[in-house]
This record gives sequence, structure tokens and C-alpha cells, in this order.
Amino acid sequence: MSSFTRRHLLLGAGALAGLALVAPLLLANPYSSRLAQLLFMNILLASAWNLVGGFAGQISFGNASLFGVGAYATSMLWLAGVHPFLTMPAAASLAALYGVAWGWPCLRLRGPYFAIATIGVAEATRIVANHIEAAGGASGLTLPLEQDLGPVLLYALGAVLAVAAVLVSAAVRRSRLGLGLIALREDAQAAAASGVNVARQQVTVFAITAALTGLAGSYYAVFTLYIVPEKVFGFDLSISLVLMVLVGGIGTVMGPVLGAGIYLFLEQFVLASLADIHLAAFGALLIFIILLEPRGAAPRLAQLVRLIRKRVG
Amino acid sequence: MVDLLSVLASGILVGTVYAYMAYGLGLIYGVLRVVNLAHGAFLTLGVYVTWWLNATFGMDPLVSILITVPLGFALGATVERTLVFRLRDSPPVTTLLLLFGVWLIVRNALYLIFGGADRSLLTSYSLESLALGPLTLSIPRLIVSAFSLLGFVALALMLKRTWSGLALRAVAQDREAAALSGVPVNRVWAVAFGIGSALAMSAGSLMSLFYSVTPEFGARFLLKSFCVVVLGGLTNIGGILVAGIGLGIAEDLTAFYIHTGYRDVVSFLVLTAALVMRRADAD
Repeated sequence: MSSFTRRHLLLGAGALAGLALVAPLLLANPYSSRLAQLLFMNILLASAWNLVGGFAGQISFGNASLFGVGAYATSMLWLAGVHPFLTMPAAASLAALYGVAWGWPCLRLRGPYFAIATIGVAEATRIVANHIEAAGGASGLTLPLEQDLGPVLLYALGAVLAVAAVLVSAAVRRSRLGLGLIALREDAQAAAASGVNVARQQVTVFAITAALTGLAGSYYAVFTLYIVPEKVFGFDLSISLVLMVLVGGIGTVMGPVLGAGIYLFLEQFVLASLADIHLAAFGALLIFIILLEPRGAAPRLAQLVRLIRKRVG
Repeated sequence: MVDLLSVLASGILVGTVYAYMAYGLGLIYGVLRVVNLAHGAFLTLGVYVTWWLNATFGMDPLVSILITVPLGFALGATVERTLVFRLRDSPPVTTLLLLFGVWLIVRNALYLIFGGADRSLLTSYSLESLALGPLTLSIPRLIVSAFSLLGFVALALMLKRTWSGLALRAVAQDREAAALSGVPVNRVWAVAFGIGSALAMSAGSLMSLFYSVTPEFGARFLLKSFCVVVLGGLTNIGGILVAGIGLGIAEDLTAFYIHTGYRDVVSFLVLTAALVMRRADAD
């Protein structure tokens, strides 16, 4: 864990302290605490997606399959009497297992082939989940409302998960593993020639992606208390992750965080008033980003920060 | 035994349509090296245009092909000229995402105009069937299958015998060599995208005869198209025909012997397996 520098840990602790300070503001009413929960979940999901999508350049349209496994693992264990906190390690490991099970063969594919294969896996998973009667079939599962963890605990849990995801992302970015992935993204042949074990590195990172995505699913189940296959295994979820990361800045550590926030803002405040055309608005946003700002908002923000520093200094 | 035979027969009939519906995707990939996620949009547009022409003017779906083919060509060529063309030097995944954006917009437009309700199209021959010994074959399926095969023959002739077909094949084989020998590559790209989209829209016309019309139509059949194209070998007409029929049969067998709900799982699993096994081509 040499890549986890002391600076990162300090920054992480600072972020948590900051989140604790603004907590009273965000916990003011049920709506704002729900927004905070969604923001934490989005940060977790987008950072996880970016590990493989951004660093390795392997675009996955199938992360919902991992999110769903996490959500179902937690819900079914909780219904069987296990405390929700204790279900989380199980949710993460099951999602990681499932991720490795399909990531191992699929990650041999590159670029558009990988992207298409992930759609196939995720859609097959969704259909099968709709037919498993033991897990509630298409009507899903309702969790014990009376055991709700309450807004404060949910806020703390979300904050810890989100900050941890960003720290993991920073650690991967700096590690041998991350550098290998980036080398791979830039030139697969050269990377293989300089000793990067192409397939194994991607699968390792994908396992981390899957575990974090499973945790996000688990968190989602714990705060919404109701899951259905069409939502937790849905294609829309997979797409929203791609959008978040593209909006924020693909392949950077802070890009997914920024994107998660921008996405939530757009979803809640702009698209809510445009419900009829929200798919088209997403489509237009996607086209706009790709044609005009393919690197997302993060580089622009960094530019702004540098500019301000220069002025001040 | 009769059960098995009729399952096989219906699988073959559906499979030829699958092949026809998928071919445009393979053609566009072969010539432009672009994964056309907007293929689903063109399939759905084809179904809706055909349904609308039938509901408003009583036009037969088979006649509406005369409209969906040129319309698809024009729309496809426009998308290529205005959007895809700008990304010709970017990694393929960017174009894939861009075309996904196009699809979202089309899907949303269809929801706005027609609503989300399932609609269906009935003709005088929709419910007719033909008894062939112990088998009963649905007339619309027979007609659609015959039209698909005709479409394939026309396409094969076009690619083999005409100058445009030669140019398309040249660019698909080696873009730079084609450009050096004076093939207008830019124009060929627009033409290929146009033909691919025309194929998709006319496939929509044919499929409106026995699938319900919803804005989600394309989502389901886009993935099946991928499956057929990847299995069949992208631009190989014969291979795609065999793959389409294979998928049709596999689906019908699953639906009949296992569970109707799992029909679509087959294509997704076959798709992923085919991709992984074709890894050598994919690199």
C-alpha cells in the first residue's frame, strides 16, 4: 500500500471532516438527505466505473449487473435477519466474484467489442433476475421499513463509502497496476512488450470496480428499502455512469466526483422539469460532450484553479 | 417430432429476417469501422413509419418499403455527414457513444409523438397460414422471409456488379489503398452509412408485420443484430445469413423447450460467447 500516501489519507480525513461539518445542512429535511445519499452513491459508482473505463479505456455498459448483485445480496441477507452493515462485505464480494466471472473472458476484448459484450451480459442478467421467483421475480423485494437505519447513519455510511472510493481510485491511479493500465490504454502492444500482463491487470482492477459497484448497490438497497430488477439491473443505470464520468472528466481521479455532482444536479433540477424529453436531453448532452468537450469538466476546472492561483500568488 | 419440425421451420423463417435486419450493422462496420448504436434507432423508425403509413393511408407494409428505403438512406447519410464524419480520427468508442446519443434522441422523439403504448399492425393476410403436410407456416412470416432473401440477393448483386459496390468493398478492405487509387472515400462512407440505415429501416417495415410497435423495439433487436453480425463475420453475406438462421432456431428451441421468458437471454449469451471466441479478429 505504498501508493496510499500520507497526503491521500490526510485529504481523505479532511474530506470526511468537511462532510461532517456540512451534515446538519444536508440533513435538514428528507429531500436534502436523499440528495446527499444519491450523491454519495453516484460518486461511488462513477469512481468505480472510471477505474476500468477511464484508466484502462475499457468502456463498460454493463455495470448495472454488478450493482444489482450488490443490491440483491444485501436485501436477501437482510430479509434473512442479518444486520445490513454485515451484509455489505458479502455484497461486495459477490459482486466482485460475478465481475471476475464475466470480466475475465470479456476483458480480452478491446474497445467497442468489450462495450457490446458488456451490454449482452448485463441484459442477460436483467432478464434472468426478472425470472428468479425466490428473489421476488419482476416485482422485486421490499425491505423492513421499521429497521430503517435513519438519515444520520445513512449519511455517515455514504460519506465513508464515497471518500473510500475516491481514495481507492487515487491509489490505483498511482500504483504499478494503474500505470500499467494507462500504458495499456495508450498502446496495448507496447505495454505487453514492456512486461505489462495485459489480461491479469485489467481483471484485477475490474474486481475492484465490481466490489465498489456492488457496495453502491448495497447502499442503494439500504436507503431506498425497495429494489426491482428493472431498476437495479437496468440499462439506464449503466448508461448514467458513463455519462457521469464523461461529463466530469474521464481517466482522472476527481473527474468522476465532479461528474457525479453535475449529473445529480442535472437530473434533479433541470431534467425534472423536462421529464418528457429527458432521454433526448441526455442524448444531446452526450453528443455535445463528445464533439466539443471530450475531456469533460475536470481539465477546465483545473485550468480555472491554476488561473486563480496565478492571480492570487 | 412435428413440434420439433415446426419449431425449426419458424426458427428458419425468423432467422432470415434477423440476418436481413443485421446486415446494415455489419456493412457500416466493415466500411467505416464504426459500431452503429443508432442501428436500433433506424430499426424503430422503420417500424413506426410503416405503422403510421398503414394507420393513416392503409398502406401495405410491403409497399412502404418503397418509402423506408430512400428515407433510411437519406437519414443515414445525413447522420454520417453531420456527426460521424467529425470523429473519423477518434477512437471507435467515442463514435459508439455519439451514436448512442442519436438513438436516445430518436427514442425520446418517438415517445413524444406516439406515446409508449404497444401498437400492432394488421393486414388482410396477418393471420393467414399455409398447411404443409403436418406443418402450419404463417403467411406473413413466409412473405417476410422471402422478401429478406430477395433483399440479400439484390445487395449481393449491388456489391458485386456495380461501381459503388466495388468502391464499398475496396474501402472496407483497405481504406488508404482505396483512397490512393482514386476512390472518393468520404463519399463512400456516407453511401455505406446510408445503405446500412436503409437496410435497417426496411427491416423495420418487414418486422412490423409480426412484432408489436413500441419505442423500445430497437433496443431488443439491436442486440440481436450485434449477435448475428459478430457470429456471421461482419460483412460476410453468407455467414450472416447462416448466423441469423442459427439464432432464430436457437431462440425458438429455448422458448419452446425451456421458457419463453428466456428467449432473449439466448441471443445475449450467444453474443458474448461469440465475441469472446472471435477475439483474434477483434484485436
